[in-house]
Amino acid sequence: MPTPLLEAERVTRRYREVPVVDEVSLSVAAGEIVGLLGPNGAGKTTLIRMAATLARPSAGVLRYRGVELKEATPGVRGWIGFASHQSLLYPELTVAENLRFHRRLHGVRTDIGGLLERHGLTAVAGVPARHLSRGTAQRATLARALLHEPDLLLLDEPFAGLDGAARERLAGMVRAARGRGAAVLFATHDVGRAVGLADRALVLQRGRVVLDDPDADPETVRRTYDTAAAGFPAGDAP
Amino acid sequence: MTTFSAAAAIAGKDLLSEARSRERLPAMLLFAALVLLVMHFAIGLDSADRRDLAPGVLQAAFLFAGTLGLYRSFAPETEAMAIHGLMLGPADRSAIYFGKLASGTLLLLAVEIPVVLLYELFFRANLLGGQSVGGLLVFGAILLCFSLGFMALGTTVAAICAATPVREVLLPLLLFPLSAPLLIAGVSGVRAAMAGEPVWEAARFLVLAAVAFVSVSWMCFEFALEE
Repeated sequence: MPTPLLEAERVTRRYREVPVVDEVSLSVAAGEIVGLLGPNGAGKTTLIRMAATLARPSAGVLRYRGVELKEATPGVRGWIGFASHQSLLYPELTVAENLRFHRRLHGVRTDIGGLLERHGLTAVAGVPARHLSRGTAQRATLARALLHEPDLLLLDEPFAGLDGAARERLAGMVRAARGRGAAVLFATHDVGRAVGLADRALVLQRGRVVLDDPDADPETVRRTYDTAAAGFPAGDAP
Repeated sequence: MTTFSAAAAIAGKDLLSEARSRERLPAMLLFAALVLLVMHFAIGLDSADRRDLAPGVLQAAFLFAGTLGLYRSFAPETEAMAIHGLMLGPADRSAIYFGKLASGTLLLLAVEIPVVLLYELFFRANLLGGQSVGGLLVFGAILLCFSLGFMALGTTVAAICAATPVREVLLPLLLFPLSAPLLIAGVSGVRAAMAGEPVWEAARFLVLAAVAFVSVSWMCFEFALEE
């Protein structure tokens, strides 16, 4: 069996002694899209941030290609692409300037013109990020996250605030990333989106994984999510 | 990607952002000029104490202008959480510190040069005229080391404060006491320059203080970035 790109082993994150992520274990393989489902406060964002090296686990181990995070952080970050519902763009800089800055930061030679074209951003290349619509900003965000062709794509609520067409375009980009062998982990509370896009869906409730079954059918995922969202312990739904 | 090239990219990005928004530099310059103007009238040009008080006024103007600049130094990073983009770069995270330090120091120096000229005008300080070329260079080194040391502290303190809802209050409360050694050495350097005396001693102290502050702040910075 190939080594998973991302592996979490009993990862816990506490804020003031309260566990927000509680002994979560998961793995994401190359060429796989995993949807992380859960209601608000389930710990999805915290888990994605830890996987992106933006926060440290209080306990447990995160591995990238089998290498423990603590030992390889700066190099590992070059493998990760991260996008959230916030754009991570500099509002005063244009779309092209933002992308050129991140290209320099990552030390890659990506053709910015081609990148803009692939993401449908050529027309807004010279527009400051402050003036972009939500959908265009999200496309620019994804272009920034993908410009160094990361092996692991981490997306935190990437569909939030997008209209139907923009959601479909984003889903297409995620599938294209999988097509070139990237592993994708995305957090959402949109069950339909997770079931439709992901190869596998995990459900989190109060920081714990309550469903991680590759063979689970969409109805089981939906029922488990609804139970989690209603606040009942898994399996105890009325 | 080396730490140096990542830091240079971050500093360049900060300066380009400032050139577009003009959020910091005009405000810093205006505020420093107002401090000089207000103190000029408060002290009085003919006051016998002018020579004793004026050096402190100049350093206070630098301190206030620098603090004003630091208030906004992390604003572009937190507005759309662009700081996460920096933290995900493959270079060592100390590149963020050195990039921010470089851009902050350059902005403060850009304020200090016209403010020194205004100071000459308001306080008839004879700060520049009474010095040899070597003395002027040492005075320039004093400005540089003060700016570097102040921004070294300020960058880390501003990063800590950026994550708190009371950053406007917290920043000066933490920064002013910590920067007291720089302020004292800066005042004694300016006083010596005004009296036409050698400024080596103050310069030497400021060099050591700047090195110490850069080292300590650099070590603390990554902890300040983390949640």
